[in-house]
Amino acid sequence: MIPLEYYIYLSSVMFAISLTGIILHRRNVIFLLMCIELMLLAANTNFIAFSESISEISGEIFVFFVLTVAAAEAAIGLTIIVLIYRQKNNIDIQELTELKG
Amino acid sequence: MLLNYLFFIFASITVGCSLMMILTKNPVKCALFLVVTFISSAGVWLLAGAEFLALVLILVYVGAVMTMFLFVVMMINIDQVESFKPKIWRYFLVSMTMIGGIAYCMYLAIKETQLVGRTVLDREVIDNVSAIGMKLYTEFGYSFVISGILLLTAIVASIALVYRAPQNRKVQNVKEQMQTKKSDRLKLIDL
Repeated sequence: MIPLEYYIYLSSVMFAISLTGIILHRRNVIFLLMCIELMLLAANTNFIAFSESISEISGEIFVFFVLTVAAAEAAIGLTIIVLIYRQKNNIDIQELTELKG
Repeated sequence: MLLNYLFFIFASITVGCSLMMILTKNPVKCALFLVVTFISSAGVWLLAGAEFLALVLILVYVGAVMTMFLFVVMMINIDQVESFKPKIWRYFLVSMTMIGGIAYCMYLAIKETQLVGRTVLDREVIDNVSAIGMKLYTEFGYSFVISGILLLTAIVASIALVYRAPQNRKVQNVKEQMQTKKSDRLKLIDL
C-alpha cells in the first residue's frame, strides 16, 4: 500500500509543471491545450489517490466525468484552433484582439 | 515494497516526460511526450487500484484525444510561432515555489483531518469495474446521461463550426429538372 502523501507530491509536481508550461508557451494555443490536459491529469490523480485511501468509489466516478468533459473540451478547443487558423493563417494568441474594446 | 519501487519508476517517468513536454519546442514531440506521460500515469492509477480508469485513460486519451491533437498539429503549420522566452530559469524558480507551496498545503490538509468514506468497499469481495458500474448506473445515472448529452453537444458544435458548404460545384437540381415545361426550353419563332 503506497502512502497517500506520495500521490499528493506527484500530483502537485505535475500541476506546477503544467502551470509553468502555460506561462512558458502562452503564445501558442496548442501547447496551452496540452498543458491543460496535463493539469486535469494531475487533478484526476489526486481524486484517485483519495478515493483509494478512503475506499470510496465516488471519487473514481468523478474522474470518469472529468475525462468526459476533458474530451469534449479538447474537441471544441481544437475546432476553434482550426477556425482561427483558417481566418488568420497563424495561431498566435497575441494577435487575437478583435474583441478588445 | 515492490509496489513502492514500481510507483517511483512510474512517477519519475511521469515527471520527466512532463518536464520534457514543456521544454520542447516542437509540437509533435510535445504531443508524443504527453502520450508517454499519460501511459505512465495510467501505471500510477493501476497501482492505486483504479484498473478501469487506467484502461479508459489509455483508450480514450492516448487512442482518441492525442490522435486528434496530432492531426491538428500536422494540419496546421505552427513553426512560425515563437513561443520560447529567454529567461526560462526565472519561471522555474516560480514553479519550484509553487510545487513546495501546493505540496505543503496538501500535506497539512491530510495530516490534520481524518477522512472517512461513506461506503467502505472490500476489494477482496468486489472488483473495481463492478463497483464503478454499480454506482455509476444507479446513483449517478442522471449524470451519466447528461455526460452523454455533453458529448453529443461537442460533436454537433465542432461539426457545425468547421463545416463549409460546397462552393462552385456543379450539381443536378432534380426538382427543377422535373418541373420544367416544354415552353421553358423551346421557343417557336416565325420565319
